[in-house]
Amino acid sequence: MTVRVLSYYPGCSLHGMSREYDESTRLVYRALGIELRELANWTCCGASAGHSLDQELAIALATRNLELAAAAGNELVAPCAACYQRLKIGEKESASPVTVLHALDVISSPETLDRLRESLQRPLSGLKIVLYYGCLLVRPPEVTGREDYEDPQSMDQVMAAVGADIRPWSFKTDCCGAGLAVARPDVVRRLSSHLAEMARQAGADCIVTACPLCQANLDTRQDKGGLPVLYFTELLACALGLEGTESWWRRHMVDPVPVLKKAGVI
Amino acid sequence: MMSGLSGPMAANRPQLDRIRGVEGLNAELCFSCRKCSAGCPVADDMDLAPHQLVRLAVAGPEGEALRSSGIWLCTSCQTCTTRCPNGVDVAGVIDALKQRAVASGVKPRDGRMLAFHRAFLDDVKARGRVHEMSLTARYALRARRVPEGILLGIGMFQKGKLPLIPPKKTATRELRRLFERGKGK
Repeated sequence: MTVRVLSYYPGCSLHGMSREYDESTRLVYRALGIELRELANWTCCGASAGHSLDQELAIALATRNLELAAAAGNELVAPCAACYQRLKIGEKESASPVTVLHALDVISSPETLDRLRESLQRPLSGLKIVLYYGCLLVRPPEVTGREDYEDPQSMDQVMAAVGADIRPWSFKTDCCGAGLAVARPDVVRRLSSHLAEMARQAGADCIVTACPLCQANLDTRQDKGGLPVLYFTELLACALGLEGTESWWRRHMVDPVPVLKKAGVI
Repeated sequence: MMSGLSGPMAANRPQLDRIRGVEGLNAELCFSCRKCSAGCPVADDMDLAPHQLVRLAVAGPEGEALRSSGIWLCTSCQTCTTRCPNGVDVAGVIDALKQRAVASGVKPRDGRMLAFHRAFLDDVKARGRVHEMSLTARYALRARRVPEGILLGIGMFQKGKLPLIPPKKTATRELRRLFERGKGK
């Protein structure tokens, strides 16, 4: 039964190196009765290259997609934190009638959390996790409208609803290095290795993310390696007992299968 | 000119070599508490830290700010902007410095990030959506170097993470108009 219809902006990463985030988002949303309609002809949000080089172009690239969403007439959901933030800035700058949401916003709404609890097949109680929100999902608060930007809670609520063992840590919104990965991997390695080490010290089996850049940086640039980095939607698919998750695990650089098996998640 | 200062303070203000493009970002309200630099994840990698860049944006000299490699290391994490007690949009100031550097043809001391941003927008303009392998190739050509992560890239390709075939071109004619709209100013 469909309870909500949303326009969907996957962004470039979800059609590229982060297809498992795209697939798991679609699968989980469908299971929760939320229909995603991908915007036809969406184009890149401009990301950090846009606002670094040309402010007007950056706004125009985001606004173009909001115009497509306005024509479709639904709220617009983006799973990538970087796309989300650029589209949110576009929404503000162009006074767009479209409300831009991050994929986590939809799942953490009270009614969806209820559906999540009702549909739970396999509680994640054996899995120790830390939640990594990253930067652009929460900052700056003038853009994202979030009040809990130093200690965000939405992913905590979602993962608590499926019974995960959430470990407290202080690095929820520290930066992973974002778009520096190609040109300055040395910087990204330092930042991401530190985050992975802090997650390990917090007692986590894995790091849970809601952004393809965060996932890729943490998954590929840990000095010591070994800590899997998963999308929250991948774990929700497991908790809901959904079919079709197997192909995702082999696209992770740090193999999450041993940790997930040991915790009884798969 | 927007300014957070008025009255006697404004009258006493020394002549400032304010950099074009930073108006409206409250840079002149900075009292150098350095909270921005304390929370910055890459301040240690920068030649000039965020609080120094804000000062240069307000008071100059322009050349020193625009040649800085620090502006190109900013990850746009927005921690500085979020935590500034005076509401200075520090990340916005750094963006404005990058844009000004590009507009005035100033070459950064380390050109890698500028090459990456250019390669990224080249790919957006050519395809509408970014294809990671094309982006990496464009970066290699623009930066005239083999990307440091090439071995990792091969590993990611073998895992099936990086699609070889680019997505079909989307709305490229429309995008070309957007890219060319701002030119010639």
